[in-house]
Amino acid sequence: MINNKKLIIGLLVLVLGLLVLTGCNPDDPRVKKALKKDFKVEAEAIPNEGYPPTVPHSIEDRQDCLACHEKGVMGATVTSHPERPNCVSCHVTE
Amino acid sequence: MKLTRRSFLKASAAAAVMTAAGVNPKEKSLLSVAKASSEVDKWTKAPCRFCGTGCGVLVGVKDGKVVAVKGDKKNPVNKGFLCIKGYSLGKLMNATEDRLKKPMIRKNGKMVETDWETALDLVAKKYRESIDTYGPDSVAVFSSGQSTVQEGYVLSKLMKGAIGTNNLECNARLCMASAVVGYLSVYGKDEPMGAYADFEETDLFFIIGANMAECHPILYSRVVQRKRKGSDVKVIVADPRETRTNKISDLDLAFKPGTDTALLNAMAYVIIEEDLIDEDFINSHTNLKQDGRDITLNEFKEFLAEYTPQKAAKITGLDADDIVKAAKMFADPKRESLSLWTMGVNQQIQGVPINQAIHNLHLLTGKICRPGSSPLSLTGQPSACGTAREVGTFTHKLPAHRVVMKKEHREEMAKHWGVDVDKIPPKPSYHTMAMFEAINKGDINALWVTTTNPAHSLPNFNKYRQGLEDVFLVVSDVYPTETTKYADVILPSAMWVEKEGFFGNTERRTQHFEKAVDAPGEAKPDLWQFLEVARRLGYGELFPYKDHPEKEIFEEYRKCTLGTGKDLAPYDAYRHTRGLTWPVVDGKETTRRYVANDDPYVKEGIEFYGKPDGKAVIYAREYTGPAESADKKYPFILSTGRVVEHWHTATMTMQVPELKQAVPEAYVEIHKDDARRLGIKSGDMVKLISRRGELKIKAKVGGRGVPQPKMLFVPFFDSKHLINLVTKDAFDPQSKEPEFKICAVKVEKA
Repeated sequence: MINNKKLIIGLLVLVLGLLVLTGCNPDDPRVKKALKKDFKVEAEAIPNEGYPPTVPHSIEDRQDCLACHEKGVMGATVTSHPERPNCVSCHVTE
Repeated sequence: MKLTRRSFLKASAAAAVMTAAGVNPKEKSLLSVAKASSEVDKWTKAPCRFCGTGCGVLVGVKDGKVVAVKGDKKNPVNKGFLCIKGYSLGKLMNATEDRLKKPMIRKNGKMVETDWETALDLVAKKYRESIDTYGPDSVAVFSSGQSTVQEGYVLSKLMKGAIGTNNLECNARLCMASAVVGYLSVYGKDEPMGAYADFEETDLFFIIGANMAECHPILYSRVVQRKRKGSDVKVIVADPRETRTNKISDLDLAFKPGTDTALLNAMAYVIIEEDLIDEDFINSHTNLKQDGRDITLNEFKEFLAEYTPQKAAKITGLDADDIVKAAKMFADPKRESLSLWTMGVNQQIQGVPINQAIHNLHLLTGKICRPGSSPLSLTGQPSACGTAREVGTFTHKLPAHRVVMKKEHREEMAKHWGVDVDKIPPKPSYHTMAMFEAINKGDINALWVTTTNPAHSLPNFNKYRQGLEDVFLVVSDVYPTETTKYADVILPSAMWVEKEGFFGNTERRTQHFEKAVDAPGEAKPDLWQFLEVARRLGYGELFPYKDHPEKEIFEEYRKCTLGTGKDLAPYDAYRHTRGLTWPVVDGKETTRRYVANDDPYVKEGIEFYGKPDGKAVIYAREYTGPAESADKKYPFILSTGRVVEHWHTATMTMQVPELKQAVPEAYVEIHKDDARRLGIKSGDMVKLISRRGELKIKAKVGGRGVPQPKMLFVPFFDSKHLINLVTKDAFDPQSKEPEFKICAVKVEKA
């Protein structure tokens, strides 16, 4: 039987994690999208700790991710680690 | 099952937190990590499966599956960070659908599944028949810089000590052979003297022919961190193509493809002209040579007169002032300078002269063998150093940096192996390109390809296709590849932590990984495959390993290393450490070689003990240009390389949905001026035509890489767009490394 308490705690950790990640509220459509995605990963039974979120927009002609993602310009996801500016070494486009 | 579901859910939840926590130095989410860890049966450590950086990875296993991977904070290489490929390892280990799971043999032109006995018996029978009928040189093995140390050692012993042929080569010939000849010719011993620790000590990064941001992302992040923290740290990026690496540079040198030697000679000219040399160092620690004869510093200066900044500017297309600026930045006596390079330098017919010209800059200025100053060549495969170079899976090599040409080396290895010294042929046979030529001619009847994919990665592949079709071809791999298409026998292999092994990275760090999970289906470690065939060939007594072959083989190999200058520690020492940098003498590892108090082989000061007189060599080498230049008919220079999402021929990375989706196919980068002139837009199909072959491919104007005008760039990972049908198979005459970086093509709208 699935332990409901642990499930709830697990979900809470997930949501909190996304909050840390995005720095914005859980009703944000991107957070909802990410939530959905994680459940998909669970369904595929291949969870992997720390898999970096993918980028939902083209980055081909954008040279400076931090221009938006350091402060959250135009609602952009705020990075928790602006000291590592080579974002594209971990975050790939969808 | 339910338990598993729950733990998966927890791991997913932790994943989101880890994304933040794993890269957050404040470590505020460590508790969550611990929670996730408690859901894992065990954690093991391993060096990453991909490039030659050697990042430490922690692998979490639950119910016999890899359920989590994370960067190992205790590993000094990556200090807890990984690039996207490293983070993808967990997904890769679960991507078993397309894995090769059963041995297969060709019957009536079709591959059919079989059992291990039948497959191994067939391999042994074909090898035995060929050896008995045509001699030992009629069979060959083409191995890999991804083979483990043990796999390489057993192959060397089997081919050179048991069968008695030097027909053992590896794909590292295609990636860093020029760097090997560089170190060997200059210092008398292969491999870098410096270490990654130099990244945090240097004041100037001189990056040439390396797109570190994409190909060595974790080392690049150390460059970035150093630049952010150091008050006056500068970066020079010398590359014909503007890449993501240029983002942090203070000076870009976009020289014409293939003119590296002219640029570096001109920098040497400026260094001497401006009296920025360290004359004491030159006198005490170097000899100067030109065309095999000793020359004086004055004669070297005369040689360089052809490479004034003005003259070099004409050859390279650079601004003479920029060349002067670069030379002065590099040679500033108050600052430490670190050179970093890789395929851009090595994969040219002048690969060796360019390597030597880089070493010249360090030797002229004495910026070597001290913290922050070093010529450090980067490697592209996880054990290109540990296996290909150190065990020596090239035709001319024997274990622990020995060579077949030296009688005493053959004698030493014959003794270690317990074979007759005459068994080891004194002459190298075929380097990689010659081996595939010999296969074309029918001089080699049986070829075993392991952990590499030559039908995808050989240059000018059209020329070598027929040979692969005709030869009896055995392929050991984990997924179907271009090469398995030509196979007569396919042996399904275990991958990474599905087996035990050792890898050796760029900075001489030897790292152990233990088996964490079972391989899928009937897949088996390559090491087991080699040993089984060796026994079937009748060499069982040379391979008497019983209870723990990986340990017994490592200990046997270790004995061959003692006293050679690349001494390794006992097996157990590596189980308990995040690797050790050799030489390891009396339990102490060596961070910087050739320096007293660090390298146990040096008593006082600096000694390049690979050379009889302890002196390194400054070589005067002319610029001669690439094998093929652009002309009226073929007006573009094509270069090939990598993207961060994919690794080599992408047989593994294409299995990770996120990586496949991010860069699903290759493309040709073209400068906007050329695109406009030819009426080509991003996304248009174009045809690239060389004297050897052609390829239809999508054009891309602008983006992550921008080649200079009249230059094109195609990443080589894509099996559906094989750029190696177009590339040229000319090679450096010393290193025999092919010129993947330069060939002439024309572009047509398709």
